[in-house]
Amino acid sequence: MTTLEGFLIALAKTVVIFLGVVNVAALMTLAERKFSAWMQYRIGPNRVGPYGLLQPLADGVKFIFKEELTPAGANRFMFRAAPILAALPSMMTIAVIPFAPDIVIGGKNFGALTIADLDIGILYILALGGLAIYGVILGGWASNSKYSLLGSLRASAQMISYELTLILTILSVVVMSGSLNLREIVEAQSDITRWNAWNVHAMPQFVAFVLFVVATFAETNRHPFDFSECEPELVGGFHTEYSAMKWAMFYIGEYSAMTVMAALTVVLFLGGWSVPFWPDAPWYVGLAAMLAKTGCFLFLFLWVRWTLPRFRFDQLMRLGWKVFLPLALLNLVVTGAVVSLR
Amino acid sequence: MADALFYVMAVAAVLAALGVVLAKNPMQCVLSLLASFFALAVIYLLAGFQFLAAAQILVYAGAILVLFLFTIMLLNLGNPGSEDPTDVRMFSRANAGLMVVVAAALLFVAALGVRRAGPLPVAASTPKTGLDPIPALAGEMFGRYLLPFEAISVLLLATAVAVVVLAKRDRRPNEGGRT
Amino acid sequence: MLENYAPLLILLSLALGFTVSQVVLSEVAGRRRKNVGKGEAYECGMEPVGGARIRLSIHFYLVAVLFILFDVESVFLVLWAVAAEGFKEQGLALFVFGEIALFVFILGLALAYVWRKGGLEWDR
Repeated sequence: MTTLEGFLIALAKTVVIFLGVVNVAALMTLAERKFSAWMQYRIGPNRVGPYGLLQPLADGVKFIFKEELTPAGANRFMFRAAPILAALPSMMTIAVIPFAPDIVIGGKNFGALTIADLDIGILYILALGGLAIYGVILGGWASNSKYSLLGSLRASAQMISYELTLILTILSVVVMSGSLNLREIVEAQSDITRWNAWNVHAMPQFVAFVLFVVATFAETNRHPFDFSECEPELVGGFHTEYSAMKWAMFYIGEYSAMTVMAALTVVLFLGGWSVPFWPDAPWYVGLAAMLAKTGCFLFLFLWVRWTLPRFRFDQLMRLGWKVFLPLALLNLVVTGAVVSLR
Repeated sequence: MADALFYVMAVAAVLAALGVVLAKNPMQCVLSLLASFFALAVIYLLAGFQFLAAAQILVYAGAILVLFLFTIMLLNLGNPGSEDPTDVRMFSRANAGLMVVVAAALLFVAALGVRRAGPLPVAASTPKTGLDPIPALAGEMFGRYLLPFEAISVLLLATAVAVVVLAKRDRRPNEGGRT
Repeated sequence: MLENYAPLLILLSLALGFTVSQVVLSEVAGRRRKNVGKGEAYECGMEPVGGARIRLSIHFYLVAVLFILFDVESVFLVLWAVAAEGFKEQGLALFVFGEIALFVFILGLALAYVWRKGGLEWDR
């Protein structure tokens, strides 16, 4: 394979995955409104395009032409930088998520559908995902507004608390599969010679699976842990003072983070692209399976938001530090003991 | 390509580090430090140490800098809206420039010394080609460096004790007060 | 291999291009009519009371330090987690697990101490 060919393949994969995730993020805003409407016996947006499908596009145009307000005391540079810093990390973390096994078209193998197949994939996600906190803190701080500052502080304290649970539960999976490479973790779960339901990490690691899913809600500041924008208390939280496209940037960041987290859950615990009872499924079936599984978790994000009431902040911190962290540590040690003694 | 990236990142790291010392606003110091850490991580990566690069971002940028941010807000430094912005610059620009020259000269001398001393003893985990294998790193960590590894846990325990003593000092039950 | 990282540059340029262009576009295309009211911090329609710089609770500091402790711990645990299977082949699995158990136990002590001292309480 020539260098140019390799570059073109990498470019094609990157563009496809990036556009895919940004579009999913845009569609999620519509899905959020549609599902909430149905759950509350309303219709939801239905004017723009069939079933309101073009609503995100109309919203985008609106955001661009909206008047932007900048609070008088705001730090102008950081006020502009914060939305970009909030959206960038979640967009960068999609790089290591493997969406499909080796793509074979006309007998030619194009490699797995992932932007960067890194040996330290999990560390990459954790390291860059942890940087999302800067957009939140800077956004709240630069706004020069009480609500924004309080919202950003709460959000950041919550994100770092639950990041620990996230890391430790992921490590339990790593102990089982012996790799930080996400593609290898998926392959360890779809091992044909040992194919059974127990092979999917969600079964032996059920505790880690549950902790991880709950922690993703806190990590992405989603309901029932959305204290950063707890409407009755803090208006919009850290983005109270934001308007137009800068405001939308925070949301694009949030929804792409949700997409990445849902995909990561599937990759780590539910066997990624592997299809039950069909060990050598072609790559497009694998891709469809991956997308379907991810879709289920994206729906879970919406479903929970419109079903459960919100926690209180001290309850959230208590849950994170006194229940989740010890449980995750214990689970990791037990997993390590089992693996080492077996 | 990799060489060019190295020089870009090296210059960026130095400029960002200068920004940390010279910026007026403490938040800008933190952002500059973040950029500097990032550039350093890329340099580690270019040298083949991918684990170190990831750990650099995860621990320094993801955790320690967050503590810095919290501390800045705790001390209420650098209010953008107030009439009297706190100037946290440690040095005047002229002094800082002088210090940079001195530091650069020292570095140059040190580099000359390293050159004359010849190559350093190479650790087992140093990548000769490609990237560092993490299992090899783990073998070193839990074998040869067993004692320092366990000592770290004691050090972390001491930190936990210290921070509780510091943060909880004036919180006796009878004293009312804002929390 | 280092070339595995190269596509990250493409992704970074795409993501940066997208976010920056959107923010700039909106600044250019959006209309601007300033007045005093618009520049005020939003406080439910009332005039803002006091400044926006509230000194934050010491709890946040505590949480940040605790986060660093466990973050450092988990970086070391990553090394072990990847190699746990490999140590078995060398017959070192139990020995290394003992090290890890001790390490986690000492950090568990740290957590227990902070818990005991009320460092994890938010309503006090």
